[in-house]
Amino acid sequence: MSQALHPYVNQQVLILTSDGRTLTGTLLGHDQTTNLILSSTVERIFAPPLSEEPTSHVEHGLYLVRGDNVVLCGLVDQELESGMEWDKVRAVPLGGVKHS
Amino acid sequence: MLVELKNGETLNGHLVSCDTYMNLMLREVVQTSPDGERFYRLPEAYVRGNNIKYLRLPEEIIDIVKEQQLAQQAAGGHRGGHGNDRGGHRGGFQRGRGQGRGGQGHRGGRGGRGRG
Repeated sequence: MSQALHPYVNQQVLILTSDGRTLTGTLLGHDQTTNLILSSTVERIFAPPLSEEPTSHVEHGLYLVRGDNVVLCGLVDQELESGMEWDKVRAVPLGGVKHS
Repeated sequence: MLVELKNGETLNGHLVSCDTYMNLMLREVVQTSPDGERFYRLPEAYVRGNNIKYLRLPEEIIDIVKEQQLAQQAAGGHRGGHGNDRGGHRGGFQRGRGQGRGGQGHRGGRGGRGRG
């Protein structure tokens, strides 16, 4: 199972972390404890509903997320992604997991 | 490199060594409290890997590591050295971890006696 992420290597992925953050980046590597290495990492900070502020993006560069904090790692659909107007998206912030 | 811990503290410093548990030894560290209001300068810090949330690394290291892996392969297919150039320090860190566990066991024992 530890090789299950292998098809995602060198592709753009989206990570949800246990503290409720959303990160996207190119998956460079992973190991058996789900430590993930992302390059060109961008954190997406959703504006809350009815907010005037746009949803923002913060660049983090090269990132190594410890497996403990990974909730989800999904492949980004490039077709959908390119059609998204992220700054217009509004979302209620995700909470963290119970033991984050 | 920047290390964020699970409690929200961040440590900014130079990586001296690490091991397979992600335990880190940092030098010239600036520690920031979870609220980002207090700063502490530490000459040296040891981080137990399990407390780490994530690491922010300089982009250059990915190329440096690739080069080193190629060099290692050329030198005789010596596998390992997972993204770090200080494999030689591993022994030291395993000793460090051993001490840590011993400490915990000790504390547990004392607590037990106290209650009794």
